[in-house]
Amino acid sequence: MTAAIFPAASSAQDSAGPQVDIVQTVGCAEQRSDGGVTWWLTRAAEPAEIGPGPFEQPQVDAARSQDTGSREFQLIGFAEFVDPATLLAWADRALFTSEEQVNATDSLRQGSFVLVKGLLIDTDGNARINLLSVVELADACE
Amino acid sequence: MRLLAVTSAMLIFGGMVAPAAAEDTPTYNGNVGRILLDNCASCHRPDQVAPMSLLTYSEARPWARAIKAKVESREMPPWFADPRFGKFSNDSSLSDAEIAAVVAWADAGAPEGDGAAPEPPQFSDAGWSHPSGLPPDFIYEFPIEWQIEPEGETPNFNVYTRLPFDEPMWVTATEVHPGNRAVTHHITTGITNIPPGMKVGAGPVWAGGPIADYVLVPDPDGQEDSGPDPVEEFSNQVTRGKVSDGFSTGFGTYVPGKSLTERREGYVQAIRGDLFTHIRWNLHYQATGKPETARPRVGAWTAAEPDNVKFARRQLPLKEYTAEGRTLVAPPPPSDPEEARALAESILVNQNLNPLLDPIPPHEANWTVTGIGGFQNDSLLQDIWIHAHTRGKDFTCVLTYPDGREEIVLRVENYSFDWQYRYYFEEPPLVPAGSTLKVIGRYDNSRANRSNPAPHKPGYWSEQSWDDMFVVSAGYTLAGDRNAADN
Repeated sequence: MTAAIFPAASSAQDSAGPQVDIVQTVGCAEQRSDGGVTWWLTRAAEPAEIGPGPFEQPQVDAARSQDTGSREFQLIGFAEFVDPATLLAWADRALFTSEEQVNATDSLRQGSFVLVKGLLIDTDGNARINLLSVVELADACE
Repeated sequence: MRLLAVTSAMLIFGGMVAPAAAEDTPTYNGNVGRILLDNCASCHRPDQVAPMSLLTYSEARPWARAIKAKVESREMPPWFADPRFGKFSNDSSLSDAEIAAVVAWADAGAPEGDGAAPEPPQFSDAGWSHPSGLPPDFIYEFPIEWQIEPEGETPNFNVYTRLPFDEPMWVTATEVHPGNRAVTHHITTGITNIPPGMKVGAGPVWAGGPIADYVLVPDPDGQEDSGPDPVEEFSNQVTRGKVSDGFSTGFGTYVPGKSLTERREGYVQAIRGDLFTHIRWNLHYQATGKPETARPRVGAWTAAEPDNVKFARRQLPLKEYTAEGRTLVAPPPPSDPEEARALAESILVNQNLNPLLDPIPPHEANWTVTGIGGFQNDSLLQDIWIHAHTRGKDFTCVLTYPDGREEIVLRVENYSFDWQYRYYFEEPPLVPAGSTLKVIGRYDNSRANRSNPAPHKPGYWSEQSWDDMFVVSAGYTLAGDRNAADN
């Protein structure tokens, strides 16, 4: 069904359920340079399924006291959440972005404690999260 | 310059390399008329948005120099997608060869040429713009004419009329006629049910607004209905951050530059008269300085019921945002039920759609917001529509695939409020489950933006034209076997 142009959307529901879940978790941000820039979430807590939508402040506040865990996920789609220079150098971003136009949150810093939300891809032995949102909770991962 | 242009046109159209000669000059009857009729006349004809008609040689001839200037600069026909990224089935831009022909024709004095004049395409006498030239099979006109005050601010509002059929209607295209383009910011129509405890009757069209029929008002006789209250349900969704899922279905829309919505060839849309009872009209008018009236209509081109329905178009909500170097975090949801309900109601009439965005500072030329949405199923990305107002500058749509690759699928380089196209992919990209779509929007609140109403003031976010909006509609269908089960 075609949906309205504003928020009202299709009434069609996915009877089979989603192939990929949206999850949130906390962990430690780690940049690696194994054949290019990659970002990882180490010591990650077990991810929890969540719906789309921005983090709400109470969720962020609660995450600050959440324990880390033992999971590890590669983080993809990180361009918006790294520093401006890395965003500018990423993929084709320089084709349409100049220095004064960079919108990078710098939330992913080496060793920082972060709350992430994204699509959990865990079907091929390479568990990764395609990022929808990242909030830095603390400079260092205790 | 002239010689170059003429030679170029000869090379392309004549396939010859020879000195410029009068007989090789493009003529109206030879080829230029066909170009103008096929690419310009849908707007440049009586009672359409363009200021002059270009249906005949005698109409086009006086405008030859202006046509050349607009075509050569690619200002006309209007098309805003960067040709480096994506191919679109509704691309209205002229080819280099067509531009060269029009330029050469104008430079040569706009000759009529020999032979018969090209036949204009068939157009609906009533102003409908389906490419077939046929009027819609179904037309529904709003029962009353709206009176728009000459001054003041009119918020979005919803009104409801009975859906005049109770079976599914299969449509290939819909069109919304505003009735008065000058006063109409937008119209969206959808089909819906009336919440229990409510009815359609006379009431204020918005809080404190004028009284009119076709408004949702409390129904004392319906209070005992124990069914769910959609507004209440929606209110709950708002407080859980699930604003846009599964509330109603769209029928057709009007925004400047776009009134016709065509479904891709081979696809149909079901208007479920068997499930829904009313058309919801979301109307937004703006004062022009004089009293105005408007009476909208919606039309639909129908198809026979398909044997095997395989098409259900969904919208990908972009619900996560970063803006100006910050991840946007929402405040706690309203704890007061009345406050939550008021918020839900405002969103249902398309207000308050960008509650997290900060104002754009005065004179800021590159204010940037990125909206992000995730595909949870294998999908085909069918189309993208972007809505901003006068500060909208450029918008870039990027897919991030599950392997981490990025691909730019659409870039609207010079956004125009006057031409709010929906960009239909010629070959819908296959988007595996686990991909995201990012739409990176830039806004120009500086004096360099000639459309900017107030560069010295902060740019706020609302449905009013003098404020701005960031709204993206990315239409997709499920891919593979899942599509067959999805309608």
